[in-house]
Amino acid sequence: MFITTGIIQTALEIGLIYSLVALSLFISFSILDICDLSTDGCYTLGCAVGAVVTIGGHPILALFLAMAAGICSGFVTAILQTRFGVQSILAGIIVNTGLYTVNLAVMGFSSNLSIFGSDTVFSLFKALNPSKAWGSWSPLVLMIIILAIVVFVIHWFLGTRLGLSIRATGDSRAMVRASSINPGFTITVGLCFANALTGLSGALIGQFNKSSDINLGTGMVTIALASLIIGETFSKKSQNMLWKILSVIIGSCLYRLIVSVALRLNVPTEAFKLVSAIIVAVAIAAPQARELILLHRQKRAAMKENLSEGGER
Amino acid sequence: MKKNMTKLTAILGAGVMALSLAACGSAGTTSATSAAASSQSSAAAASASSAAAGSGKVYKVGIVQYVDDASLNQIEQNIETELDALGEKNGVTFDYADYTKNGQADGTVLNQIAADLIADEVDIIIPIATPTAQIMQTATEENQIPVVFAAVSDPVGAKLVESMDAPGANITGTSDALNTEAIMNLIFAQNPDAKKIGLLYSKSEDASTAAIENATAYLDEKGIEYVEKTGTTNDEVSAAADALIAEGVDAIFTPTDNTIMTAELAIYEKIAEAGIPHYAGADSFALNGAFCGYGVDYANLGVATADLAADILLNGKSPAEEPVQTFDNGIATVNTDIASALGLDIEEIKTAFEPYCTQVLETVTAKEFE
Repeated sequence: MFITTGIIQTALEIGLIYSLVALSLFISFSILDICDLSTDGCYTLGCAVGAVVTIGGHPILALFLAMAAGICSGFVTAILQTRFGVQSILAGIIVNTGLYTVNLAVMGFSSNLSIFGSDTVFSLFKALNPSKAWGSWSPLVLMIIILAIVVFVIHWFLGTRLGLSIRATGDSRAMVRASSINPGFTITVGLCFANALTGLSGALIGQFNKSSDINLGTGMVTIALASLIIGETFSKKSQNMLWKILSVIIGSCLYRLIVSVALRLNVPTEAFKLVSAIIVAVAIAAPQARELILLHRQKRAAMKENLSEGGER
Repeated sequence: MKKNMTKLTAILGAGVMALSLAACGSAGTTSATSAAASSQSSAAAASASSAAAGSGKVYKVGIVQYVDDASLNQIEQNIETELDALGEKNGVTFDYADYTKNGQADGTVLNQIAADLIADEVDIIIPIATPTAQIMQTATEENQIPVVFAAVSDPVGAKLVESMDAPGANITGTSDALNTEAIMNLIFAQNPDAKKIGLLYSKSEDASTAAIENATAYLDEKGIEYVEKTGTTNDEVSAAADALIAEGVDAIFTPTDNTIMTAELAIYEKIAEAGIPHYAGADSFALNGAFCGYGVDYANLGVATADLAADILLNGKSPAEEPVQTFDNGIATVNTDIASALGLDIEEIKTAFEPYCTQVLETVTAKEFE
């Protein structure tokens, strides 16, 4: 069979897990208009913290502590750019680099940590019902529940006064400052919130894979950005925030389904990164390119008109 | 060539598909189904041809490479050639070509590779390196497809197996952990009269602890005296080396210890001047002035991995009972500069080392590999 239920299940499960990172970028990149390059490290941080706490026997607490770790990482990134005037891209890169050591330290200076044999949220949820069908579908059900909660929280948060000022910060910092809101504060809150989601995603993937590896997050930011941008093509014209959030999740699952199909077609994995990069570049460049083409057409039309006018004379 | 062409079209197909998806959401579905149909027919053709080639049974072998890396690729190649040879010998076909995937160090793809192989109903999965093995372990927990990993340094620590001798589940494989005994054998092959061995390592590295325990157990059993000196910084390592020289040891042993490795260029001259050969657990030590570096032969490891997989498939052996294999014959790299400084003849050393190594290589002192 070309595509089995198992393949689609896996694609959706991890699509949902990674959609948390895409949602994180949705907040930092789309809403706050900040490039947060600390994502790779922060994601691994969530995974490492989650793994250590899970081994300690607290898989649910692990998710919250991983989010807390993500908040700390986001806070440092934010403070560097708001208080100390470090450029936002540089702040992300600095934090990302530093996190490598922090992540190693969290895992007890070992590059790999296995949580095989410990209870995870997935195994706890699966144990609720002994039937076989539940066994195979429970991870997906659990991820849908978690995502539903996360979507609700994001939607609610962006509707609060603070959430609205964060959205305004992305649109126009000067305007926000003029309304006597400190944009430094809204950026800090926004980045902390975004990185909490990244940390949560890391902790979930750690428990899903039953291991944590120092190189887990490599290239995460491009993958998440690709998912985000695929998703945003659905909601480009929409003003509805809930649909915008949902489309990011759809984008992430779609991305994973594309990868599944590519794997089935025996596309070498070497090509994946380039394809992701092309998706991101084309999708971001598309509106600008369209305008350039329009402008070019206008010019030619104007030139033609000029010529024909000249001919009449 | 033909395979390359299909790959190329597939890449283009995926690229076009992805782009059309990005540009406009609805167009993707139709192109996906058509691409699916075409690949199904090509896959059918491929399996038909491979079935015709082998007279006996066809086993689907999934090989999952972690990343393109010189040592790891060497393992993969040797697994593949050994599988071909074994298939020919036993009149069966090991079909790995359609099921060999490379994660390119992207953890996000590894889960999907596992799902892909399970959907293909492979008979066995061979993951190379620890992270790959761990994800395959999780993916096969339910369906119990046998897994034979290659090149996992610490299978027990990575919780892949319960113990080296009795893995206990659907997973076994080969480990590239350093066999301390093998290096000890080299020391005594070169100098049978060695009375006192220096152990130089750092306390901050997990990998060293186990190796040093093995070394002391070996020396205790042989009734040979040993001196342990440790250091965690370059200065401390240097001081530790001085102390060992002052103790008048006959040889110094260092496990695969990165702290000592960093300090090696600073200490090798005085160790050689004192006439002490330094044996260490990686070929890079020899390059930086240790007398002999000893490492696992990855070609050999690949062959052993394929043998183990074939044993499970053909003879119905259970992975739960097949011990994880480690290797006591690797590649010894001898530094000829140091050998002559110690007044040793390289040909004599080679003959002495021969029984314990698959290969003896020569090198000279340098900062990095060329």
